[in-house]
Amino acid sequence: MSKDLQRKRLLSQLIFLLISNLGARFKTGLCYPFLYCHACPYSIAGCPIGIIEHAIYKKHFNLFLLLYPILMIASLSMIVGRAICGWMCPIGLLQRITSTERLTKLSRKIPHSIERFLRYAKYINLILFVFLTPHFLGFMFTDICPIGFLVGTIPLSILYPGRFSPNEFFPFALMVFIAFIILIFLFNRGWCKFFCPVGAFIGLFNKVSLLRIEVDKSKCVHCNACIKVCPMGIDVPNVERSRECILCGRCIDACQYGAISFKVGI
Amino acid sequence: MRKFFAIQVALIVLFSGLLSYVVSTTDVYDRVKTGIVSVICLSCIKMKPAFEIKFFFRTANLENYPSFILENLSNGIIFLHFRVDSCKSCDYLDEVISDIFKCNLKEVHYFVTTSKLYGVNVTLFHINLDHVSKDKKNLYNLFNVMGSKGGVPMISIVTLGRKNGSVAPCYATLYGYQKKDRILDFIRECSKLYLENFEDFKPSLQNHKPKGDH
Repeated sequence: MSKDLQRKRLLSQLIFLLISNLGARFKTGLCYPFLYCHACPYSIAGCPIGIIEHAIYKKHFNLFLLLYPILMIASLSMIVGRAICGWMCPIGLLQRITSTERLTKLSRKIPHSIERFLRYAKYINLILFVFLTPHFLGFMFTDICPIGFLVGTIPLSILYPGRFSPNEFFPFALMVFIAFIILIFLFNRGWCKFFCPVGAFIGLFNKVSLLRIEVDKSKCVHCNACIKVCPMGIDVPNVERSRECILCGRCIDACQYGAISFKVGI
Repeated sequence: MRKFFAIQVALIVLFSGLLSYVVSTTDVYDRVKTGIVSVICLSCIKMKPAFEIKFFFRTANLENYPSFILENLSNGIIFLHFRVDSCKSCDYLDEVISDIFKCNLKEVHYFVTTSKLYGVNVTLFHINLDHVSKDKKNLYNLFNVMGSKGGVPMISIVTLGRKNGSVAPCYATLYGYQKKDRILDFIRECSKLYLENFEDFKPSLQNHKPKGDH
């Protein structure tokens, strides 16, 4: 298996992790195209989910603020699709560290019907907790977001001890955070697969993005090597333009027959 | 296939064109920068600021209290409110302070008014640091206890405290957007201190370099 592509991906993820955390010196009004929290003391841009919630919070409606993160992600996703998750997202990098070969096997043991249902949880998460409850009830995904806990709550509590005290959502957020940690250690790309609301949105663009994975059926011998290594559990040879595909390229590396490749355009 | 490619290109042009339009014709970029990214998001961290009012007798840059502060202290407590132009939190805080002092701070760079709150005259000094003279700007350095880690909006209240048995000016500073209730609590506590110590206050004796910390 060629490691070259995966090294490039790791390098890309590290570069984006660094860029995402250049905010100690200066802040921008940009929006991350992935789920990363602007409460991180070193964040350089805004969280797309946070911006959407700002735009529609408690029956307010700011059209341009709402459109800004949506168009930012849509523009990029139309070109690279969910490669954003596979090559840019720092939480993707974290899950790369927590996932092992054993997890890939464990993930495949989940009954298909349960996994299928769980995969829809991220869409429910997106619609319910990012759009509906913030608008009508004032309860936001942000209030319990485990990513905010990881890159905001923990570093700020260390940097400014005693300056903050837990709010009413803290116990729930702590439980969600613990569940998140268990999830990413138990299931390969568990967060991306089942719960990430940004991933859910970007996934829609996989159907029309310029960059995609292509399987040359004439070369495919159905050895299933690509399916075994896929962190997202996709039936690679039989599913074209899957919403779940993060374009990590592990299937390309695994295919000894050169049947799988990146393709740009039609 | 060509049709599909045309659709792809059309969608990219549409989304990026709309994004360019939104960024170039609205204040969304600035709003995200100053109102979202530059302000600690308390919802994101599931925390609230620990409301601890810490009083200091010595100014942050160790200079003397200006004479007008001491003069105004004879009349009541002093509420200093600092902001800059490009600051969404400052805009929000302006509304809260306007509400408390029954005034309109919108687009006002320097404004002084006095209101009676909790039995004490509270003199508001609203200062936009981007538009005031050097001596007014220096007030920020006098009360900016966090130095480079501080920021705007910043509120400082100068009141009277007791140090080693004698009454002297003291102040506390808060940073960031604060809700109305929190600001009123802050004023109430400072007013209480003022009422406790006002009778023993001798402004003429205070115009020396204050010594010691809280």
